[in-house]
Amino acid sequence: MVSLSLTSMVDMFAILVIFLLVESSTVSQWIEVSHNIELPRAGMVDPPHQAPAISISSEGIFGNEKLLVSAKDSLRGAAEFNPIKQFLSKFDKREGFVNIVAHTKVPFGVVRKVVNLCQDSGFGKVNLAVQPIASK
Amino acid sequence: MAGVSSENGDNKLNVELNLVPFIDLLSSLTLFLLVTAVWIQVGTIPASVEPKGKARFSSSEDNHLTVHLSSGGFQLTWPTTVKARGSLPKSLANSRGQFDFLKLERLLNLMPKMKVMPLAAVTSEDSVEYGNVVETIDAIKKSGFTIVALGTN
Repeated sequence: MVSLSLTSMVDMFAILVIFLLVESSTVSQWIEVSHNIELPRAGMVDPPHQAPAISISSEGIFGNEKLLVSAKDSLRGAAEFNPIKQFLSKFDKREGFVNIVAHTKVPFGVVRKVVNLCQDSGFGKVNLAVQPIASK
Repeated sequence: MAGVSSENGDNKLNVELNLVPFIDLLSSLTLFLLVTAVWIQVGTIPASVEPKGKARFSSSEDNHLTVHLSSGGFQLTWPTTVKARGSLPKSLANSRGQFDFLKLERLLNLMPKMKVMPLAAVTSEDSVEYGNVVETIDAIKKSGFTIVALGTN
């Protein structure tokens, strides 16, 4: 008959729960970062709005995890970006917010085209997703 | 299962505490918190652009500071009516191939803001990395400009 001491396990669980409770937040995070995107860092940031998110990475341009424009097509003309317009047309334009989640190494020209498209589609309030850094 | 017993009539209490439900609760709570935890904090910077591809303010430099990023560094333009402390350079070359954001922030700290020139705009060549543009917006905001627009024309 083997007796198992549960004291250590209970201690570990208690510490883990306390840590997670302290780190948890009541504010939901509306932006999901995926596709190997490394966000640029900034100190003067605002909380994210709940709005459609367009992700720009080396793999392509995504809207809610769905590939809209491939990486090859993203370097071409504006005509290749029409799927982004179709994606944005499904959302309510009343508030006009859109979140751009772009990898830090992406050429600015691609981001500029996407921002222009968002404006043409009625989403003039463009928010650029960044990773907050502690202010000095 | 708690029980009270006394041994040999000594009035000693012997309480048994069942830890099984406590461990169940802790493990459920841990699993829930692990699933809902946010591991990467994300913030946003407003790009302050208007619909139809127009920046919030006019393209002329009459009323705002403009910082342009190119492969060589920063180029700055500001209204001629603005009097800054001392003579300020209109361009900042890259340092070892990298944009010098600290120097830009120090330079902008010498400029009068809010009352005279509260607005700033950032434009860039297409080949510049997006991260550099964001860090430029951040440096301008840190130096006191509250409205920083991203030029997309």
